[in-house]
Amino acid sequence: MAPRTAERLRVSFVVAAAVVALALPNFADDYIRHVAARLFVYALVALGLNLLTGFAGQVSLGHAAFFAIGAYTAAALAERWQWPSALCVLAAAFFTGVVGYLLGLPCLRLSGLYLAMATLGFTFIVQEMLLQLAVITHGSEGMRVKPAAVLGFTFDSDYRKYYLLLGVTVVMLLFARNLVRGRTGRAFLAIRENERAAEAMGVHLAQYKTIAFAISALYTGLAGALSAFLVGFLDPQEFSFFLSIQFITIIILGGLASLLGSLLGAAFLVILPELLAGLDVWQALVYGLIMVVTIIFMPFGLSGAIRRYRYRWFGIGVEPVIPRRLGH
Amino acid sequence: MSRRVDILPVLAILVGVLVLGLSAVTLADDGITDKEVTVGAGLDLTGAVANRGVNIKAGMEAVFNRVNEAGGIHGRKIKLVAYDHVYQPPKAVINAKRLVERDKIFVMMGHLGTPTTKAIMDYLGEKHVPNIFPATLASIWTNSGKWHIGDLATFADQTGLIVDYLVKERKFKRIASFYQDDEYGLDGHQAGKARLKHQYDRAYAVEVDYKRADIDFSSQAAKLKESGADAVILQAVYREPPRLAEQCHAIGYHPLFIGVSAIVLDKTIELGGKHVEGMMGVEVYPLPTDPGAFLDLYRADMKKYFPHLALDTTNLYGYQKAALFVEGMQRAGKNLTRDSLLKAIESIKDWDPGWGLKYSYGGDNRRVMSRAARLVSVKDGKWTKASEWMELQETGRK
Amino acid sequence: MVEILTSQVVSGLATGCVYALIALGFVLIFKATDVVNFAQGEFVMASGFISYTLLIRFGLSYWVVLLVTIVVSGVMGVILERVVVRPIMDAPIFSIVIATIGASTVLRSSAGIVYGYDVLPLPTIFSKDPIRMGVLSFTVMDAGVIGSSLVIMMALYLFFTRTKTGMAMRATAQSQTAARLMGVSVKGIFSLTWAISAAIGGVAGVLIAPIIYLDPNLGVIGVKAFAGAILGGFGSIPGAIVGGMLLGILENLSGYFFNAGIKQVSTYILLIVVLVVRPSGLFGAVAVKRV
Repeated sequence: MAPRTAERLRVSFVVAAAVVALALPNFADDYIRHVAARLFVYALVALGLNLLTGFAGQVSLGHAAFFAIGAYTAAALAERWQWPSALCVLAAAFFTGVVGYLLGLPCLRLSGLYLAMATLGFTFIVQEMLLQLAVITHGSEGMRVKPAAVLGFTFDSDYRKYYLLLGVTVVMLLFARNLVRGRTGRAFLAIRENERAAEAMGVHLAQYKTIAFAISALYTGLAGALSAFLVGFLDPQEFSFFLSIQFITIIILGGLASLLGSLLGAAFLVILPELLAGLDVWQALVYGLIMVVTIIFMPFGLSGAIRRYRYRWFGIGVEPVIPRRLGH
Repeated sequence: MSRRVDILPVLAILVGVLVLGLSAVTLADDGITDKEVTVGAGLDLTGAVANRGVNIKAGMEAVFNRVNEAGGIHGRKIKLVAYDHVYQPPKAVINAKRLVERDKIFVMMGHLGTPTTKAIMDYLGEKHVPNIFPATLASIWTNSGKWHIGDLATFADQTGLIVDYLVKERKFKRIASFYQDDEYGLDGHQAGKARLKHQYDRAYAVEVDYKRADIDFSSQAAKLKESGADAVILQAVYREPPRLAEQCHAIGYHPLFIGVSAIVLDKTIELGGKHVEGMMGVEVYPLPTDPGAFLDLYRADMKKYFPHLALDTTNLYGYQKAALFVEGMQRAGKNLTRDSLLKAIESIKDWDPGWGLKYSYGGDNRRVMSRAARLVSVKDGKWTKASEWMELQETGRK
Repeated sequence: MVEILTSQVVSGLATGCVYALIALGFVLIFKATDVVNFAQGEFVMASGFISYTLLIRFGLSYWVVLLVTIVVSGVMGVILERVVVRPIMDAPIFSIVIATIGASTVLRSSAGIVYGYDVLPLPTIFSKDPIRMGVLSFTVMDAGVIGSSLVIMMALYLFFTRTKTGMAMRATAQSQTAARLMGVSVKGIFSLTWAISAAIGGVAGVLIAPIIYLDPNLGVIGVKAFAGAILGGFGSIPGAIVGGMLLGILENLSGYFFNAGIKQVSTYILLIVVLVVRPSGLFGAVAVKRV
């Protein structure tokens, strides 16, 4: 198919998605709006995690901790020092980014499973700190968060929260898109493919790895801060290692190193449980089965499957191929 | 042709339905028609405390099924819609919105978990949806305003009773606290601390905590032994006390273990065997195996509707919630609104469903239906009553 | 004081031995097939329920139950490998990990549906009575768990060094191509590895379930065991054993000197410190670049 047709297909898809996203709240109830807003929160986390894990190849199970740090920083700034909401969110995202940078430093020498485990340890440690720092976090009592307000406009309804999160997600999506298409993105990919080769080509390993950690943490902290205002209540138990595993599940099911995949994965993880809600105790079983079947039939995740069928049906792009790793 | 449908009757029916529908919308609250009342619940059905969620739901459904088979209350059948929140506050919020917006519930009932219920309390208040008898005995539900009402004596009040008993009746000098390191365990732990301080000018001999998923309590046992405490107050669920007792006995330490109502289960004895002999607890409602007309009804209903579930304190907990709710619905009468239901529940005084325990509304600053409790202890492998029902004093956390 | 400390160490060692057994399961599969099996903890849980059913519902004797549980767990391991892992054997390692996470969800919720979420006591032949030997004080159960774990580890050692199959498995772990050239059926070895790992998980289940009781969420213990395996150096069998035991002891001591919160994170603080100094764990040789 001609590239122009491909481009046209792409543009019409984006336009259709934009129309649906903009119109949705006007045709839905608060439940749908809230679920969709939750989806955007997870999409933000997935974008950040995908930059680090999918593009730069650094596995992290520490993102529940970044999420918590963002959420609690924003909530604490709003409650104790009455900072304006917008400032709370920005400060929380920035602070989480700094924490991510600092965590990136000792993690420089780690890779693969060791990195995964060290970052998982970080999740446990931060969760415990939420309990110990009760002066700020209210410990296990939990923390109520008042709705965000910007210049007198209060984001108190799900309708408003939806548009706020939609806007932030679109901005951050475009930012990520520019990042991965630019120099930084190419450096990330080079590091993932072969660290030594990347270094030989002049990629400053330590610098780019810590940058990846910082940006990824910033995304996640931002998502956490917005989530605090969306839900209105924080409880330390929420930020457990299960949440970290959920995050990594999102990007793998959605597709590693794919921005579209981050959105699709988030949609999968948020919407599927809602569809299965009537199944009572069978819910988790069906959910697990769907997860296994999805990954067996789409080993490259949802975006990988899209790439495959886009190639097969329309002849656009390249087909993702499984390298014959074991040769049997 | 005979297949031609006469347009007029169809139109008439349509208009009729429309008018009825509109009148339902304008006259009554959500979730209620002349034929049906929709009750919502957010429970943990597959997560960390799923055993509670599954059993509470079964207990409530047993009552509703019986009531519905008998024709409902004032002609209305009760429909229970429950979703799984996996004990996570954000999911609890999503479920609450679904129940209120989609399923148009009349009330929220038996919502499980303290953090999860806290996360939705403001939303329910805004929407004027009553939060009836949440499945948490935290002290917060006693004074959170019009839309929230609890059922039984809180863990804080229960701990007050335990402290009084240990100090006044047993004349114990050294009392220790073993508590779960979360909101659930802290409620009673802090209430006990406050009671000891204000009433008796004392402090715990030692405070020992644990995490919900902990499996080994040998370090806790060692600390308790070193403190030389005569009694250990357990702010725990049923799986920890047997293991703690075992590990205390293993190092030759035999204090009196006494816990809040969450440990008074047959399961505790099944798990602990001889190690829990002599353990004491607080009961806020009778055991599933006790005599009483209401308990006979409970056993029959459970056998009929949930034959695969064992009789246990948790499904009885859900069962008594539902029975109390049904009583409120009866009293509210034919013209049911959320306000009239709340008024009816608040009017309950000295009502005994038939098990020796009376429910009375505690007043606007004390929004619970019962503050009764009694002491029990394990004798010959059975929970045996160690005192009569008594009215608990209010014990705060501060 | 000394007595209390030693008893803390012994009971920590008992928990640590169970961690070590589960960690072994992780490491064996990883060494042979490069896959991290996140359902390892669920093997432990499932085998606990299997032995519960055999003991309580069918009333079989303890040793028969132990044997049958080991066999059934092994079969379960093979089934998981064939159904879930093999179809995507060549896919990115991430996808396989997610598949095993999905499988663990399925196992956990199946147990919840069949047995409910209430905890169940699993009978054991080891009593919980205390034994005193000088400054040492522990329970028969502690001794039994430590003893049985050591027996299993010894048996595994002999299997890998003295039997032909065991050596073939080690050869496959070194180089699949070389092993295939030597006439080893790599696929067969894969299945066998999963069977052995699941069977070890089965033993761990029978040992730990009487102590911590059975429930569908018991598999969470796998996370600690995984930490133990990483601490020792993932891919190293002695590392998994030492790492698991170390964590068990560390947990108990930090719980004694501090509180439950510190007890919980002490594992991970030690782990991070060790990894910063030795990025491949205590016994890990070279950093394995997989993902």
